[in-house]
Amino acid sequence: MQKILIVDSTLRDGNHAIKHQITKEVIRNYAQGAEKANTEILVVGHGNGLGASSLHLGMSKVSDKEMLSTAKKELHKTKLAAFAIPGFATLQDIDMAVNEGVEVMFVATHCTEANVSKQYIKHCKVKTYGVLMMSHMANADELLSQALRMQDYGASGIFLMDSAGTLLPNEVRLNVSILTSDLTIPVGFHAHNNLGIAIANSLSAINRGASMIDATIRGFGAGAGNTQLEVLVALLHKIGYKTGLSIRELLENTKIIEQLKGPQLISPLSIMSGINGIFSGFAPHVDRISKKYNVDAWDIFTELGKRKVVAGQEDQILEVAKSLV
Amino acid sequence: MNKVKVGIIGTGKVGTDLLLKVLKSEYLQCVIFAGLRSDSPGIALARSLHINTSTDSIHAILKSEAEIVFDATTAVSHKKNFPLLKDYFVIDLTPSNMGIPCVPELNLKEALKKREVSLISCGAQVVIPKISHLILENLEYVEMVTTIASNSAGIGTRDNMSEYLQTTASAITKFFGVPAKCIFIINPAVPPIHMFNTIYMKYKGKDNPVITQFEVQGKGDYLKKWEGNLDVINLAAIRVAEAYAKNTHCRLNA
Repeated sequence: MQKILIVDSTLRDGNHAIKHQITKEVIRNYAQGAEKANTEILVVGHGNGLGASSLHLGMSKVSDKEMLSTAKKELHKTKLAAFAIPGFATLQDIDMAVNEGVEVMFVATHCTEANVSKQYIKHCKVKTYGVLMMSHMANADELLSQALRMQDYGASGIFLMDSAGTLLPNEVRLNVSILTSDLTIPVGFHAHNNLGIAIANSLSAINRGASMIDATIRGFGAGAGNTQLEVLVALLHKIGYKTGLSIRELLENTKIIEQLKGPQLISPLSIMSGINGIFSGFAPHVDRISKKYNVDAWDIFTELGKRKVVAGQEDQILEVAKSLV
Repeated sequence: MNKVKVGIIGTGKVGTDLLLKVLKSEYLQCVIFAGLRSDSPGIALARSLHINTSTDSIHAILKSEAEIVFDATTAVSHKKNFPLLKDYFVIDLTPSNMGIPCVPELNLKEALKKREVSLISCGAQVVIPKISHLILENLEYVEMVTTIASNSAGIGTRDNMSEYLQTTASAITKFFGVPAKCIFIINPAVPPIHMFNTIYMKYKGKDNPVITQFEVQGKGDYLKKWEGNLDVINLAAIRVAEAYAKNTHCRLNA
């Protein structure tokens, strides 16, 4: 049966779940585990990628360069990957990453702004995937035209991200089927579990021809977390898909992440994020600011939803909270 | 008084708005408005205003009588244009970062001594004057986040995102002597949002940064009100050009 490429973003999206405080020791241990589990691609970095360590989003405990070099030392067959959002990352950040041994790049833009990735995708000398974030904010035809641009720039595949964890399975099926039928490159999907259907949505994507899924061990990620990698792989193997991964080793790797964070429940904040279509990474900022200004998080999320804010507009949380005081 | 002759390369949104601002100026006269695309709406508008236009870009400028050249193309094409423009006073609106970085409010006089002035980026023209009015003592680090509406981010900005971030951050470092970071976000909401800026300033010995937030609305000459970011860089360009024109005029009369 068909092979599904599983991209492991535990050490990237998971960084959101612990305010970008992942340590070198965790990176080292986890990278060793990923290698043993036969992981093909391991993404490492700040939750928002290269150049995103900032007062705006939260400072990383370990620099981009050190995170990558630490992981690289443990990897042989597993390819090291980095994530870059033009607007945070510069081309110099990408050059640094490639120098540190990154073999796969993910270049991400808001789902309607793919042409911002042109300079970056063309610049990358390694295999590069295009990523359309917040894909609930455009219809399937718009997503296709944006994905075609990235394909044109030289992307090796396109990932649709449900960054707000708000899409329904039928919406995922429609988006993915339109892309798979009109692109010549593979299509992937990245979910958030804010409404409890990350696994269901990932399976829906596969049902419509997606051949790549981005997931994290224990769902370790922004908001209510991502598609839980070890569960997805177990399911895929049960259905009959191949992933090349060792489920037994993946289960060993859960222990490393378990020490960092308890079970990731779907918190009220993540549900608010999901129903208002707000980027999952907003939740901890909303939590802090709502307490500081004594404003209800519900009201903040509702107003952010009305303003149609995108990933990277975390500064709107403060603006909105002040307007609600 | 005799107006100083100017040429504009780049007939996109920025170049066209700049043209309209030049037409309002007492000191400047546009002798050539040159781009590449004959179907550019900017070219059509300029023709309707009886402005001399060309699709021969830099070559048309070189054949003109312009003394001041505004480059409103892209960083990449400015790098190609630059060596050809040695005999002109050049005002660069692209983030190529080749001339002296200038924020008129802070270093206009210094900039006028050079042949090539870089206006850094629209974000820099908005944020740097603002920072200069905030507390600078014991400043350790500055971070700026600019969010603009999708339809005010032209192809030039999009194709030059990396240069935009670096040029803007390095200008903050130049003016305030501290490390800086620039973040740029594009929002496609309808109706379009106004340019929104957040400045984070970190001080020695303080845990929490001081946060300043403000919105910028444009004047709406050619650009829309939500394109305030572009309006501000064009106003800076006119300010530099008029100051140059006044200086030239004084020299001629002396």
